[in-house]
Amino acid sequence: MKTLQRRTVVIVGGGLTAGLISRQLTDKGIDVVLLERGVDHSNGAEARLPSQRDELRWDVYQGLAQDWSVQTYSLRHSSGETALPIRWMESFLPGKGLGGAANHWNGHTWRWAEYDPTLRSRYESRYGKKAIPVDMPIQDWGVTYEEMEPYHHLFEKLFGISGRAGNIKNKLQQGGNPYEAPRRDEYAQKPLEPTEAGLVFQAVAHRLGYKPFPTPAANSSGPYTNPDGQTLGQCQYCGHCERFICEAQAKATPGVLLYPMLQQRKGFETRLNSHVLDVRYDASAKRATAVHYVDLLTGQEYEQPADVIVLAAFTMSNTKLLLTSGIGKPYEPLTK
Amino acid sequence: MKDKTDHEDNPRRGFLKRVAVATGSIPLAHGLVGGAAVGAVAGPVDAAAATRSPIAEAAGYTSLSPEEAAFTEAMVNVMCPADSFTPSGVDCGLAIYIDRQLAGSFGKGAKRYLRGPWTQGKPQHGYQLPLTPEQYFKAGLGRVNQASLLRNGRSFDQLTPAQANAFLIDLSSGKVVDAELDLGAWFNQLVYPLFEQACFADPIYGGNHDKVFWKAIGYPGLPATNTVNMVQFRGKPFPGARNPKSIADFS
Repeated sequence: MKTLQRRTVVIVGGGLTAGLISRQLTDKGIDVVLLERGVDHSNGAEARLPSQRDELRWDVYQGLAQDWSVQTYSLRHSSGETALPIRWMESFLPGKGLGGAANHWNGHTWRWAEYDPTLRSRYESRYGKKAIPVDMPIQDWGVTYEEMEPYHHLFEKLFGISGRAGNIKNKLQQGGNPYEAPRRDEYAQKPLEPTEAGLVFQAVAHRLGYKPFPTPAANSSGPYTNPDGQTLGQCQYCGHCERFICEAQAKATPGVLLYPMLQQRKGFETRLNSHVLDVRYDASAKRATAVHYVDLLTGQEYEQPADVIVLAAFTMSNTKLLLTSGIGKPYEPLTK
Repeated sequence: MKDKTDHEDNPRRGFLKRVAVATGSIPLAHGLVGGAAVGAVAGPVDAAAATRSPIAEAAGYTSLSPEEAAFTEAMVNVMCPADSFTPSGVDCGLAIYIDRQLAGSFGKGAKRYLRGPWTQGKPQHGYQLPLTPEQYFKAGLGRVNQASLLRNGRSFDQLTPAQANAFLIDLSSGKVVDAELDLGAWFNQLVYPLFEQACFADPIYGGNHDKVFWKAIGYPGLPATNTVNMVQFRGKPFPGARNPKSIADFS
């Protein structure tokens, strides 16, 4: 075990969250080191023709997803059942490598509905205090849509989202989603071209009196330059989005828009092949002091002290790290 | 392609031929002779293997035993018979595909969690056997052959196409039972997906020979740019689908 020199911020995981956090921190001149257990995919077969189009490799065999032989989840459907390991995942696919699951995301980009963050109070005001059963843990989030709107806006501009607005400043817009929360302006880019199936659906939906609208998508309808000066290519409609890396750089991902920029910034360091095992925790001070990780290239273990430790390795991995580090109280489903 | 109907020096084939005569129907494996026209990869063929598909013959099996290969060939030929759409399953490379997957990292359980505990949960817990996919394929195949012997008095590869088809339908609906293995799950969750991949995966993996399935469904393969095509050919047949491109065409 080697103990390394103290850093200001260490981020566990190199996906979308880590990329966005790093963008904000390094912009303020804050020193960030990022630990990612996978590799940089941007020059691999997964990001290049012709192998990028290999559905067997990337889709069926989940070439970009977490390796279940190393770390998986256990599953039970009730507290009376014995949980069993999930041996192969299909329901959702955490990613591995710089860019994380956002490398192989499909690109659908919805804002929260205006009522999502205040659902409990909304139901209570409409149906009464007793409408929500006592064991239903639905909560208000402590933040409103209005407060989040600037960040939705920023993200959509950064990621060049293609779509059509349905509600600009509470004024409904023809052809957009009439139920969406009010937005300050139009989407960053025009919508993608509809497919034949989309046109058929649109015609039928209109005839039935519905209001079909194009799905807001991070699949770039045109060439695009974002506020950071980072660029996206134009979508080539090949259909290899979810479970694939877009070789045309037309799908907005941290690997295209964030990490190449961050790696040019002073005070930002990425350590790949670095698998974090646990967080060093000072229980008396109630303070996380360092992360313990293994360099997968050499097997060497390191302790990286930091002032701030960010867990950005996906909810399940974050929770596992907290549990293995003895931080917090494990969830017990039999307690209220 | 030379005439390969003479196979008296192949005892199994000879037996199959006799069975065919006795039952008045043509056993599945006999159908392997057909579809020779697509056998572009055929290499030298020895006399003992004269009835084998040129594709299977040129490639050879790396995981399957002769009995397992006979089962697999018979199965893919029932599930994909030679007709106006495609040559037989074997001649489409489907058995070779399955063999290569079993022999490779998939068969060895790559990326799967393969450690204990070994408790058989509910179906909703998913696969929980301590077997790699290759081991599972072979274990199930053996049990299915036993069930075929019990039910029909013959191993699966010696059934007539109609018998084999009925048997596979029963197998997929859980009506072929074994004391230990859920053979319905074996077929539906392991074998059928392999068959489907064999048909539609890129031909570099040994199936979908000559992109026959891509042509059948009008999939153009790997053109890199479709932005203009997307608009120009919306709702119309895409000419590029007549000549799909595979990974090998760009390599």
